[in-house]
Amino acid sequence: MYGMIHKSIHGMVLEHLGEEGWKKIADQAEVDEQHLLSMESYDDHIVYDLVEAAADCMNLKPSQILENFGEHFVKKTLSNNYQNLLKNFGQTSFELLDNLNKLHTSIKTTFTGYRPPTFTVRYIMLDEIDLIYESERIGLSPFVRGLLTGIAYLYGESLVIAYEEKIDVSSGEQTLFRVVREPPK
Amino acid sequence: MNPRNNNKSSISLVLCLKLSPLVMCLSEYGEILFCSERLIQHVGKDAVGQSLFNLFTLEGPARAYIKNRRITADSAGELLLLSSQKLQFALRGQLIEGMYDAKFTYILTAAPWLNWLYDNLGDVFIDVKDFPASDSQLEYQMNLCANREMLADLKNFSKSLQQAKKEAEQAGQAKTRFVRHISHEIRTPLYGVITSLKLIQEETQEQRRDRLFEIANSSANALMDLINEVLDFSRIEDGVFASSQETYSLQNMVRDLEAGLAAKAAEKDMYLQFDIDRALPAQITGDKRSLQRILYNIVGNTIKYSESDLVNTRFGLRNNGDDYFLMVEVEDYGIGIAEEELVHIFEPFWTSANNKSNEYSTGLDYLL
Repeated sequence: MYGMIHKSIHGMVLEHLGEEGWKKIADQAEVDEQHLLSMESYDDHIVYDLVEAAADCMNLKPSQILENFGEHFVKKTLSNNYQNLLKNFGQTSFELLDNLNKLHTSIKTTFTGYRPPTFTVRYIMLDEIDLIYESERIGLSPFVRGLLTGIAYLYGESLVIAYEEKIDVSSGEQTLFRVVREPPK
Repeated sequence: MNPRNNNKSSISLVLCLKLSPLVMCLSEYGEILFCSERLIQHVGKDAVGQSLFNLFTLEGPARAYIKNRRITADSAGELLLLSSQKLQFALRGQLIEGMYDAKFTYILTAAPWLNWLYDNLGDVFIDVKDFPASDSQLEYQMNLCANREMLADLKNFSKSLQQAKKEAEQAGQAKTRFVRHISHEIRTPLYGVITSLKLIQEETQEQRRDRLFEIANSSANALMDLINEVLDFSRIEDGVFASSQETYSLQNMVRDLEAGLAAKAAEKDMYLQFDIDRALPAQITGDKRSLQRILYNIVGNTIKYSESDLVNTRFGLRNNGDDYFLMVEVEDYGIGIAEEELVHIFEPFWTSANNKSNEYSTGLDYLL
């Protein structure tokens, strides 16, 4: 994964636990790199280890940390530098989700080592979709749940995951999310 | 005007529509003959039949290719840049020669001109559906974002390196100061030992010899204290100063402390008073050696610099919710430390500007 992900976790931990909390988590996760570069590719295990350590320190399940992190990633990391670009890929949350593969392909033209997941959108109704998330990485479905919360915030919408189902696959992970866009209150 | 209905003459247009969502057909005089559906969303239905040059300003290529509002064969293949403040839209694309409605025509396959839109309209949102799949403008924008982020990373990195360099330089300077300081501090008691021993050999009067022995002894002790402090500091710096937990009697620890400091206090005719709050438990658990060392340094320093005849050390109990703390207060009536100097007291080798005494000091007492 690219350093942008690691840096985002760093930002989230700093926000909640401060510098001391980060030191504790980084020590527990045995993360040596003090200066991760956003556009440099790092080993996936760093993220998994940081999530485990953060879960331990914050007394939460790793899946909850991942979900919080997904939300933080959109709200704080992507919103800072990439908000306009993201909105080029969709005027609504559903449009963005539908165009995520195009976005990932564009990223891959520059960052050739990028191994993005795949998102398939199937419209059930105008305000209801099945989002199928497929990744070669295991255990990141909760991160997608958090991403959906973040994306809803980005577009000022309210998205509810009505249903979630893990699909049996021989390798990697595949999850179906039934997402309902609720009318503004 | 659906080109798909005219199989005979619209092959080029159909291909162009597959390659790009924003397509228009133009006569050689710039009349718009056809607009794709997505382009109509930007230029309006009325665009068909109007002159391209009335709707848009031609920003490129060089006017030589399009003279007197007439498109020439030379302009085919050139990058065409068109902008319109009125439409709040800009296009970049290529003209190719083709057929539309059985007539010779120029076909413009285009995409939104992102840089113009961002420069002129600010935070404009462009739909990815307006771009040909191979258009690299969005990737370019992404690269700009990534480069901005990379630049910020490198700036932070560079700042950290500068800070580390500064700290390393300061540490180097501190070491140099340390060596200079310690050499000076060692020399004084060492000189006391050497001179006393030399004079003892020459001295015939027993009373004066005893006094010289006393001086040699106290100088040697001062030297030992100084070396112990330097060794402790070195152990802390190397991270080998291990903390140990044990249960011990506070009263006994205070008694040992008093015994260790009694000689120093007696030299200055000073009275040491130790008060232990009755609320404190008889046995406490903690790092006895470190606490003793800290108290020895603080009270010892007080004896060293105080001009009063009393040093009062109080041990009390403080609680914060369920947490209980041992609180130690040391009170004297000495020269004190100015408020602005308090931030420095835990810095190595620091001594107060008020310190005019001739006592040996490594400036490590508070740090240790």
